Amino acid sequence: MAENNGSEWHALATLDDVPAGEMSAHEVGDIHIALYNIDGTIFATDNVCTHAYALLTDGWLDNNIIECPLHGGQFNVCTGKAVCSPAEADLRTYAVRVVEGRIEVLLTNTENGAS
Amino acid sequence: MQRFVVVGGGVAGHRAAIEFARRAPTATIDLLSEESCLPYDRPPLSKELLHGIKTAEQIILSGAASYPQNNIRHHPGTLVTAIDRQRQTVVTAAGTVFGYDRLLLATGSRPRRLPAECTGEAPVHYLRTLQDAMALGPQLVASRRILVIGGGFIGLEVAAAAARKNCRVTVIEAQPRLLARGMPAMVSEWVERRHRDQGVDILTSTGVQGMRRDGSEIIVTATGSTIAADVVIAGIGAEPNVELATDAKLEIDDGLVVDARCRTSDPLIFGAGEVTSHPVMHGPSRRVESWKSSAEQGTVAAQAMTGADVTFDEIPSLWSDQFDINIQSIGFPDLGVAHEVLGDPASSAWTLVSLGEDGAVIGGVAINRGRDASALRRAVKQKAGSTFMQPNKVA
Repeated sequence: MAENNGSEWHALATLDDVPAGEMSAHEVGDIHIALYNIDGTIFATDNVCTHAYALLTDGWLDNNIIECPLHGGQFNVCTGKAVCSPAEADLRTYAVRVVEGRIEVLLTNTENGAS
Repeated sequence: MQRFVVVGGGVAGHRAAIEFARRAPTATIDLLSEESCLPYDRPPLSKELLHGIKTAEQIILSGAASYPQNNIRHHPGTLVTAIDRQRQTVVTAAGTVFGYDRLLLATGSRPRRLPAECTGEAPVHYLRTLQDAMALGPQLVASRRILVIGGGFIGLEVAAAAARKNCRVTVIEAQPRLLARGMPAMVSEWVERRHRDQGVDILTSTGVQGMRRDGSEIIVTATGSTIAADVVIAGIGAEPNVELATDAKLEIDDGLVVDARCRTSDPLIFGAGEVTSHPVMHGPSRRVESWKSSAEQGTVAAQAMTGADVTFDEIPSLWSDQFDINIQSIGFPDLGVAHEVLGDPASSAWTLVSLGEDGAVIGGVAINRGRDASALRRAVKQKAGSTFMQPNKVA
């Protein structure tokens, strides 16, 4: 579904795939995206830690804080903010919408590789 | 206008300066650093920098490039030679005087050196600074013989980097096992096997007795053997840089003694980072060599120095990346009276959970099991039993 600003919604999962308090890992082209269900609301961020290469979904989700499995850096998954060393740079977040039980994430065309 | 002076441009001093700028925007903040560059991240020195996958510019600490905009005056290449507690000043080698209302000592530590009578004229590398890493990196050339003295984390990371570059690597360790300081024997044995699998030669219970230079070679005499090497690196521990504090007659006990609020024996002088001996996990004071502890303590010190009611109670934790191995140590695994294992130690991913006398988790080591490291941190904090270490679900 194309948006007029060159962005596109991508369906990544269904609500059943990500129960409350859990997360799931997805790839769109080269981008790794993590989905989190925080008290019934879905959030999406880059799934790769900004400090070193690790998938955050291999880490520990504690309420709305994801802790990286490699060195213990932490991010707020709702805002992408780095909240604990050694994470310094914030995580990229993505707009999310739920359409008929499908979780969709907004990506720009340069991100998803489409022309 | 309040004057904050920070001595030491490592992660503790850097974090403190950033926190001062945030909490006291009208204060003057002077960050005095002996090194000539902006504060940088040290963990990559023995990893990404040696592997050549990161450059010096890429490890500058976040926020250091914007010191001027944040009212932080960074003074690189500035060696502080004395503290005058009466006058509340510090003096540099160049004779510059900085007055302070509150002073933070974050002077860090330095590598312990082999005695000169042991090394003779032989060149020995150490690894602590960016300069050290820049000097060592180009020496790690394929097929060269690299001798690492000391089987601690630094030595093993250097050994892994050298082996990755197809050097011929030997590690000698004076103790009967690797990682003898801080790690339980099970972890030592596992790590030793991994290094051997990667072609690293390991000699334990092997101390260095002497060295000599023979042309381009270095001949090292060790317990029971003589080893010829092209490059020698020593990683045999760290010593706190307490000289300034000692001369100023601040209380020293191994490190610079500070309380949980980072205060030294002088109410105007605080300490943070590896130079300090501080209360750990509500127990006795000790020095902690950990990037994470230093970073957090720097922030807490600046908060305390600007009047916040805070204490530093970070659980010691460290990580090491060698080959494809990620090791995370939480708390005090070596002080456990009993240990439990999660996963299979014959595999590449397992966790050791260390229990105190009351059965509570006091630490542990997660090997390629990052989620367990997160669980260990929480278990130690909550003084939970080992049943806390349940797998956390992922969809």
